[in-house]
Amino acid sequence: MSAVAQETDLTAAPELRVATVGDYFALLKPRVMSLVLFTAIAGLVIAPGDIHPLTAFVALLCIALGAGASGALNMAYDADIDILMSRTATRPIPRGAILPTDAYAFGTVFSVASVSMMWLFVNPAASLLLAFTIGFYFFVYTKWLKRRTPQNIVIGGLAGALPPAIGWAAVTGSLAVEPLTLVAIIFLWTPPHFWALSLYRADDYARARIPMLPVVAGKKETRKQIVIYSIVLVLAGLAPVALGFGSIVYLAVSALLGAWFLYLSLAVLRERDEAREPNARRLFGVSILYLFALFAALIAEQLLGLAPFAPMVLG
Amino acid sequence: MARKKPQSPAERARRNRNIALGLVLGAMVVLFFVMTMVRMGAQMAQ
Repeated sequence: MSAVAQETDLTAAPELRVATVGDYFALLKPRVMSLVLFTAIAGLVIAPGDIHPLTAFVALLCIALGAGASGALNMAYDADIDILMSRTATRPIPRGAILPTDAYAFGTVFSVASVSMMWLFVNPAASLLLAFTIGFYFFVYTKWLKRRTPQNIVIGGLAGALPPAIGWAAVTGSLAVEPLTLVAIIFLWTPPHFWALSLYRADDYARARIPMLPVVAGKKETRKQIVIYSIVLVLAGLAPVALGFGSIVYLAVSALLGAWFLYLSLAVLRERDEAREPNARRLFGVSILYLFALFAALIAEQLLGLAPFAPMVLG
Repeated sequence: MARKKPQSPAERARRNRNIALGLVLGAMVVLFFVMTMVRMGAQMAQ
């Protein structure tokens, strides 16, 4: 048991009440799930080849279930530190609505169900990728890296980056440069996104003894790292055009929002209001918009037939 | 015979949870059936 866990006796937490359906839904981290699902749809839509619409639906359902399962397992393990942070203190376990053991059971059932269904009804490649993603998020990120190193979200970000590859594999049964480029974009997006959050939540992370970059290396170093990652991200964001699977709409979205992303990262670097961190808050919001917009542009181009290869998946 | 309405919030929450679980299980059964038919259909077409 960690030092934080010893200090945070969950049995002494608020009185346990009967969990509602909404509590279990919250356990699935629905906002994270929506981003995961959206990026997976992009991978599925740009993949060359044919897939039955119902099989595509099952693939997306499995990805959503798998993402939810990862969220539940993460919340079960992190209950002792979630209760210490204002951002996470209202989650179902710290609130006393759901026991960690129930969340473990819920997450495990969903993990097994999603991976099995993907294997049975889609294909083994997509199923193995989904199993790897869930395992990486829980065992590598949550259990190993999160409380040990400021590189936690850099390496752990791979789990959140893989859904486009799963979507692609659901159609083709294999991998290729295109989905791996999308994986790279999300992988590079994760650090500036979470470091922006950690700048204005640094006290929360320090209280929970999570070694996020501002806590361990200071805010100045975090700002520098945000700018470096943002530059590399914005360049990587243009790669789909260079590789020929992003067209004019994608180029416009990627360039314009990329410029905004870079502008805000420089504003974070020059921030003077360290108490409120307004630019970090803006960057956090814009980073979500950036990722959604990039993938929306890719999906739209495929559906409109603007990209080099036609949308055969949903056709 | 009229069904007894759940009294406490805990009973209501438990009842709603059971209904949701039942609906999810029912949906899974339908999904598995439909997917089996789709895959069998595809194999027969080959």
